[in-house]
Amino acid sequence: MVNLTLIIAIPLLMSFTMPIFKMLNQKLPKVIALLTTAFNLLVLTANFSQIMDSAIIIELGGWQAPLAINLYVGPLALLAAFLINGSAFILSIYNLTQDYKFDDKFYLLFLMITAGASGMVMTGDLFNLFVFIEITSIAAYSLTAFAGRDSYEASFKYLVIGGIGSVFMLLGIGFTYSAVGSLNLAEIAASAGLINPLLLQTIALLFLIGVGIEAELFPLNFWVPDLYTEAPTAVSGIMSGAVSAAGIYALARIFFTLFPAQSFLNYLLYLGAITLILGELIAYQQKNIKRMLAYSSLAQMGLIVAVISLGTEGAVRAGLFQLVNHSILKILLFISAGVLISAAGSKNIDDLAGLGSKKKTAAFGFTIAAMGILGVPFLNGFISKFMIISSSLNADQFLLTVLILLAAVIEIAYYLKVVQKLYFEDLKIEVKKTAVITIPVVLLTLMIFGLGIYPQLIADPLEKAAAELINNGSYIMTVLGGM
Amino acid sequence: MIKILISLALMDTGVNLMLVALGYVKAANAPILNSVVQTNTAAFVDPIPQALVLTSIVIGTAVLGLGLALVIKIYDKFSTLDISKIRGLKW
Repeated sequence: MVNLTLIIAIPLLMSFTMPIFKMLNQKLPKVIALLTTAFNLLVLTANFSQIMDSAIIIELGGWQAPLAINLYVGPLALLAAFLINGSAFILSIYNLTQDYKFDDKFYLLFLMITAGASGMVMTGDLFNLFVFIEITSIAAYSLTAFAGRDSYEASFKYLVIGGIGSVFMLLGIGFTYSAVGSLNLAEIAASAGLINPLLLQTIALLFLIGVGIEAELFPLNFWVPDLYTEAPTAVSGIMSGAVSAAGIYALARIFFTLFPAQSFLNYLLYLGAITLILGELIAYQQKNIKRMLAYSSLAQMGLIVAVISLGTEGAVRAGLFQLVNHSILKILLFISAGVLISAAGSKNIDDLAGLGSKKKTAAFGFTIAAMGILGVPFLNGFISKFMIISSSLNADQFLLTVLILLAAVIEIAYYLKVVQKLYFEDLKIEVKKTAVITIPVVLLTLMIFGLGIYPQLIADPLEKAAAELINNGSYIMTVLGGM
Repeated sequence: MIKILISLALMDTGVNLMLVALGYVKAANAPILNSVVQTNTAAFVDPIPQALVLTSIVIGTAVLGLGLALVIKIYDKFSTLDISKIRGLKW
């Protein structure tokens, strides 16, 4: 086994030495980013079987759990870490064909997002969680601005919202600390029942605002479309594939492990459902393809939050599966849309007409991923959609089921509109030269088909992760041990 | 836009003050263990909130600096700091 701390440490080390690599060779930063994310995936794989057995706890600095900060890597964190580093890896492959203006700085921030998001899912300390959220989002603010032009405005918007969110989060941490006298997640969870209910509600609300921004929940998500539209494609991809996954993880960790109460979950359910419907409706009328993807991604996040907060084991499993699928599909969508956009020289959907015959790989990738999101059989989205609907029916949530099906209908309308434009209309524009994206498209398509035809691949980790979320007693026991 | 950032900084400072106040104990010493002069550990100010505040001040400064840099870029482009006149992005 390899020490899991390296997943956070190596990207940080590599990110800050990036300017030196750049001095050695112009091409080196790209390769280093690719190698670092590949290394992270290897470390995770090496620890896979052991974590499936029992969660790994790493005490930093050699102190016992409640005294020092500890890392907690259970099945859930492993799943999320795989998603984050996997997304970063695929996007690094994509980045090999891209040229950025200040590429050493771009990869510096790129690796920092990876490290921050991995830290978010691995940490076992509340304040450490806050610090990692800040690392991730500050890196994201600056990465957004790399596209120039309108991206400064998107970045500023995100910065203001994110800054306010972090203040709320910090206030919540302060209240929690004054009520419990500890910042260790397990210790807070153990004594959460003793907190004054009114104070508990306040704290939960503060955390909801703080973390909900990363998880793209309804009233806090107006930065999302601007950011996804204006940021470079790789950044949109990592934000929707990795950072929002980490946000969902933090949300689930806080509302399942820290303050397990059905009433909070009900609020999350409503918020998730509103996010879902609003996102789909606005996505339907978008003319700009990236903006459409952004709203669709926001709606998917709402769906995942709503389903997870049903709170039954089947629902949590379905939600997590949808999270995995969404990361894979959205990255493929963003990569192929990025190529189509640069081929057409425009982000307008109407201008993409007829590109299906010229840009075969990108159009194919877009179509497959769109089909996956719609839930066509033999693709991964089908199985998770099926699980979601059956679990929400099992939980007697008929209204939610109707909403999910309705959202699926709207999705079909706007995704098929693009696909139809790509393949069945005549080419009107001059096609520009673009980057080649064959390798990431093939990899992601294999994953989509693999999970669609043989979902048992991921069934075991999903089941363990869901069990870990539902049962917070074992989390407390493993961290605090025999105390 | 500068004023938005000023308000952000004010919020940050407010929360930081509150955190320090949470850990304050009246007539207590600074939380430093000293082998020469034996101090009563019960009369210490709680050190954890202070450590938190130190970290959050650093984070706040970084966000503020980045925000101001973005304001400069936006000013270059739009030649105004009035947020209601900047409408590059709409939903």
